[in-house]
Amino acid sequence: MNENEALKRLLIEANEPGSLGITQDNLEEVPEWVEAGMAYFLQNPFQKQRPAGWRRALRYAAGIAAAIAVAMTVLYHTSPAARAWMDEVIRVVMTWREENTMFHFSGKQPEEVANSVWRPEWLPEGYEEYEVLDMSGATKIKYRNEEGRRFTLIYCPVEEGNMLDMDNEHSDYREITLNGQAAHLFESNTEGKNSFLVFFDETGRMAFQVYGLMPGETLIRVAESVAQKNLVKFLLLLSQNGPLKTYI
Amino acid sequence: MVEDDKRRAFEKIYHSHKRLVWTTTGRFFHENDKRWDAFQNTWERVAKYFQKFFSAGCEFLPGYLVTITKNECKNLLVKEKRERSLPLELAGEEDFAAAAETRQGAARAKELLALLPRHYRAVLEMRLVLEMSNSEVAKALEITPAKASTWYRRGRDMLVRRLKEEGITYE
Repeated sequence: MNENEALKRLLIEANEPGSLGITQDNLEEVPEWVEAGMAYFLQNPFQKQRPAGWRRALRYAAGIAAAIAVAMTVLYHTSPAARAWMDEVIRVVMTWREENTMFHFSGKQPEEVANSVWRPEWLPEGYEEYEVLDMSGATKIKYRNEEGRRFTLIYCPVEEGNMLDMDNEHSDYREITLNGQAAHLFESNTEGKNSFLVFFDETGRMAFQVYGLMPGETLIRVAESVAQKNLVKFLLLLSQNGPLKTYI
Repeated sequence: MVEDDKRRAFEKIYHSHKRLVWTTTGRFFHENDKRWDAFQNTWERVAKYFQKFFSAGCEFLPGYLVTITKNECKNLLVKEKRERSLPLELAGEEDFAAAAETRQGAARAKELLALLPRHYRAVLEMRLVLEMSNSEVAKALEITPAKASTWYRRGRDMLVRRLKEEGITYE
């Protein structure tokens, strides 16, 4: 080991978590809003030319959201009508930036909504579910086919701290209707870039994002088939039968 | 490493160490927006130098991540002109010399390192661990490249000299 390597190792060893008094017992949980904010980055952490504004955009959006929140709080506490209206209506703020679009959510959902389990009942031919990630508030499910092509479904309750985020630089946008709610399709216009679809369940309490290297129509078909699963039944079937293709 | 394997490896490291990084940011900032900045900057840097980071070996990952996180926090503090911990004078040199007289081994090496003036140590970490160039260090600390170079050289010489004086070697 040369001298530089030895010094490097010493410097790293000296920065073990214990040097800052950090142990397994006092690790803090990462807040849900941070996890939600990282979701976009984690989709492609090695993107060479990440939009310079992605971090600022989140802060900018957070600033706007904070200003709106102050105004809404005043209204909420002074007007019963406004309170009822806000409880039921103001749940989603869509923010357009030059390079990406974000959906910020507010409110709070009942536990049965927050813990609900959702899956598509139709998948493009050959695709199977292969990974489910719990992302502290959001669930990410990955699908792939034998050729290694993939697409992803994310769902989360429409509530404070959750957010969906997507690239809008390489797609054409159009609003459509799914489940009686406005849905947002960003169909890729660039080879090698994902299409994205954001949609909601019939009650507007659960948000979904499906994306992959596939036409918008395929994403829509997947989205139209997404349905809530009985959690107990789902787990039972999953343990008995394995991945998705066997239980639908 | 194939791109997809790389992404999966990154995601695995992220999920297993995100709490450590978040907790480390809390040692520098109380404000959530500052912690958020440092958290993101850390993971961006990990992604940028992932190959080097990944090849460092599992046992070094926590120390490596804490080093990166600390560095990103310090960069933010410097930008805010709040960093008072990088004094221009060589504070601590006497302590460093005095402490060199007692204990031995790897633990002793860490103690010697801890006694290195903080601006020297910061530059050593940036140059040797994070493999930043002299001009990158200068930019991050808002000092001239000449000063960054001087701090690196002096800090390195001081540390190596003390380690050798105590007979501490690395195999």
